Amino acid sequence: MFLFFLFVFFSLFVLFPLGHLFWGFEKPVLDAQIWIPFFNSLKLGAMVSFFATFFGFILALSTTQKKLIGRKFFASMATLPLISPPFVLAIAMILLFGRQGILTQKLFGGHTLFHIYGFWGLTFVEVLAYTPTAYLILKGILEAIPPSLKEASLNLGGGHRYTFLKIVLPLSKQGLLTAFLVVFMESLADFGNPLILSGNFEVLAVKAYMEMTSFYNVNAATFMALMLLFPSLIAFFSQRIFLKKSVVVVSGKAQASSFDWLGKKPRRFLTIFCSLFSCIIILMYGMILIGSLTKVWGLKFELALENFSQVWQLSHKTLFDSIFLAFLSGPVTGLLGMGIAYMVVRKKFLGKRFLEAVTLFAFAIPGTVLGLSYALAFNKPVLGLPILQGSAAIILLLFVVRNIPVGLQAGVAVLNQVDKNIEEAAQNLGAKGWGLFRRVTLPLMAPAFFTGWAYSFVKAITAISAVIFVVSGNWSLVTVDILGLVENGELSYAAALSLILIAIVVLVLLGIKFLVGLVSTRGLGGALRGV
Amino acid sequence: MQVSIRDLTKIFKERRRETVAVDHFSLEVKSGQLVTLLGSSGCGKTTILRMIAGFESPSSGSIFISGKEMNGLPPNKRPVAMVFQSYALFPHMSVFENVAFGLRVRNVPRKELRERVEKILQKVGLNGKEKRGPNQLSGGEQQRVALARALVVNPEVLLCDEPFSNIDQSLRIKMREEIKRLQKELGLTILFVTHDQEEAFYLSDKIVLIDSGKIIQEGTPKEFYENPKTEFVKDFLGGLKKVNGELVRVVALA
Repeated sequence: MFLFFLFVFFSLFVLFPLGHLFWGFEKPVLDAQIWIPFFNSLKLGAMVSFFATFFGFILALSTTQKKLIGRKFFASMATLPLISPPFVLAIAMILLFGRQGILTQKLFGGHTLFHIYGFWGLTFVEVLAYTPTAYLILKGILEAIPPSLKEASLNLGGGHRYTFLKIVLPLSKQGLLTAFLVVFMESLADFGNPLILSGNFEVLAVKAYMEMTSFYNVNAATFMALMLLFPSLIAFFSQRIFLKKSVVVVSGKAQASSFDWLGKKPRRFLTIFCSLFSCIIILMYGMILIGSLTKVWGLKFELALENFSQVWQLSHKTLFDSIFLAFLSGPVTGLLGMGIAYMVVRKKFLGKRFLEAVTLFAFAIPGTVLGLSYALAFNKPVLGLPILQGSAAIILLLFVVRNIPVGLQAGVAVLNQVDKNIEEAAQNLGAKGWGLFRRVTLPLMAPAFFTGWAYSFVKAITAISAVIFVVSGNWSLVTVDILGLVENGELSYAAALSLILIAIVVLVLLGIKFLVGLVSTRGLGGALRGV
Repeated sequence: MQVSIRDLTKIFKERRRETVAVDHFSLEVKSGQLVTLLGSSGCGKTTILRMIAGFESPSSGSIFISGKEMNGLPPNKRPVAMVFQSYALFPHMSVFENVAFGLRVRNVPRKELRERVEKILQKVGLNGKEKRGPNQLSGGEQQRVALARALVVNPEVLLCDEPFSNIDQSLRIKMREEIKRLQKELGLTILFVTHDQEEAFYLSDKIVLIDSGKIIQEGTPKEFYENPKTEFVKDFLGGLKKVNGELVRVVALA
C-alpha cells in the first residue's frame, strides 16, 4: 500500500515534471554562445569544490583533535553558513567590497580594489558557503578512522607526517572525492550567489532562469536545464560508486581514545588556520548585522532600527508564508523519509534498489532544473487536479521532494544503529506489519524523525533555486524577497530580513533540539540509548 | 632490568571529577620475561600499557626501558611495539605492507625488508598470504598479522593489550601456545594485559594482579596457587583449591 503510494508520488512529482524538460525542448540551440555559461559553470564548480574540500579537510582535521583549544567554537564557525541562505554571504561581500561597500568607501577612498562581480568574487563566496558541506562529510570520515590505527602507526615508529601521509590521507581519499563531487553539484546548482555576483560571468542556473522568466524562451531554458542536469547526474553517480568502493575498516571493538596523533607544531598551524577562517565568517555575518542597522547603505552610514520596523510592516506576510510552509514540510519529509528508510533497510521487495535510487535522484537534480520542470508541468491541470502553479501546494511539494533524501539518510543511519533483534523480539511476541512499525520501530526512530524535521525546515526556509520558479503573488517566500531587494540595491533592508531569517532558523533549531530532549527523557529515545 | 616502572600514577580529569586509574604502581620486568597484568575491566591495566607506549602521559612516576627514561618521549620514539585489542590493521594495505610498515619507517633497504617480512610471516604461519587484504583474513589470521607487524621491528618490549579477546576459545588456546613458543624462540620480553586468569596462568613468568589501579599481589603462577594473599585474590582466581597428590599418567590435555 505504502509502496504503491510512493510509486505514484515519485512518478507524479519527480519523473513526470522532469519529462517536461525533454518535452519543452524542441531543437538544440546551436549558437556557440550557449557553451559559455556551460563551461563557466564547470570551471566555477571545479574551483569552488577544490578549495571547499581543502578547507573543509583542514577544519575537520582540527575539530577532531581533542587537544585543540577552541575546537568546539571552530566547529560551530565551520557550520554557521548552513543555517543561512547561501546568498547571504554574497550580500555581505557587496556590503564589504561593493561600490558602496564599507571597505571601498572608508579604506580605499571610493576605488573598488577588487572586482567582486565575476569569477573570483563568486568563487570566494561559494567556497565560504560550501566549505561546511565538505567539512561535515570529512569530519564523519575522519571520525570513522579508528584511533588505534594512528596509534599503531606511531607505535611502529611513524612520525606525525608519516602517519598523516600513509594512514589518515589514504583512508580519507574516498571522503575527499565525495566531498569534492557533492560541493561540485552544489556549486553547479547554486542560484542565489551567481544571480547577485556573477556580473558578466554567466552561469547555467541563472541563465536558464533568465531565459525562462525574462525572454519566455522555453526552448533555450530547457536546453540549458538539461546541460545543467547531466554533469550533476554524472557527479552524483560517480560519487555513489566511489562510496561503495570505500575500504571497509576492519576492527574488533573500537576504543575511545583521548590521544591526539598530531604533534604540537601541526596543531599550531591548524589553530591559526581555523582562527583565520572563523574571523572571515564572523566578518561576513557581522557585516549583515551592521548592514541591517544602517539607515540607507551607501548614503547614510548611521545607526537605525528602521529596517526592522519596516520588515514588520512590509514583509510579515512572506515571512509567515515561509515559516508556515517550511515548518509544514518538515513532518511530511520526516515521515516519508523514515518510511522509505524502513522499507529499504529492513524489507525485501521488488524494485527496492529502484526506490532508493529515485529518492536519492531528487538530491542530484539541481534546484533550478527541478523548479523549471515544475513550472512547465504544473501550469495546467494534471490528472484532474486543479492547476498547482501559484498555490501553496506546489511550493510544499518542491520542499518535500527536495528534502526527502535527507530524511531518508537520517532514517537509514538510525535504523542501522537499532539492533534488529529488538524488532525480532517484538515479532516473536506477536507484533507484525504496521503495528510493529508503529509501536516498536517508529518510537526508536523518533530522534531521526525530529532531526529530519529540523534539517528539512532549515533547507526549506533557506531554499531559493527551485522555488523561485513557482512563487506567486499569493504565496511568496522570504528568500525570493531578499534577492529582489538586493537586485534593487536595498541592501540594508535585505540585510535586516536575512538576519531575521537566520534568527528564526536558530530559534526553531533550538526548539526542536529541546523537543528531542523532552522525547528522549520521556523514554522514547531513552530506549534507544540503552541499546 | 628491561622495564622498570616506579610509582606510576594516572589521574583522569573530566568535568572537574578526578578518577585515579593507576595508583602508585611499580614493577620490574627482566629481559626475556613474560609478565601479565591481570585484572577485571576498568582496573587500570590497559592505561599502564598505554603509558608505556606513550599514548597517555603519567600524572606522576616514571618508566624506564633498558635503563632509559621514557617520560616526554613521543610514542614513535619508544622502543616498544604493541599488539592492539582490535588488531588495528591498516585496512588499505596488504598483509605484506602491514608487516613492512615499521621497517619502511626505519628506511630498511628493500632487500633486507623483504627478507625480514618473509621470515616473520613464516614464523607466524602466514606465508603465502602476503598479498591479501586484512578483510580477506580470518580473525586468527588478522591476529597473526598484528603480531608479526609488531615483532618485525625487533622491539625491546612487546606490549599485548588483550590480544585474544576477540577470537573464539579453541583458537585462543592455540594462539596462547604460539605466543609462548615465539617468546622462548626469540627471547622476547612481553608485557601482556588480560582479564582471563587461565590465560595468565598458562603464559606468565610473573603475574601482577591489579585492582583499582593498585597491585594486589604479584608472583609466579605457582606462588599464586600456593599462597593467595587475600580473599579477593582467591575469588578472582575462581576459588582456588590445592589438591595434594601425585601425577601418575596424563590421558589427554585440553
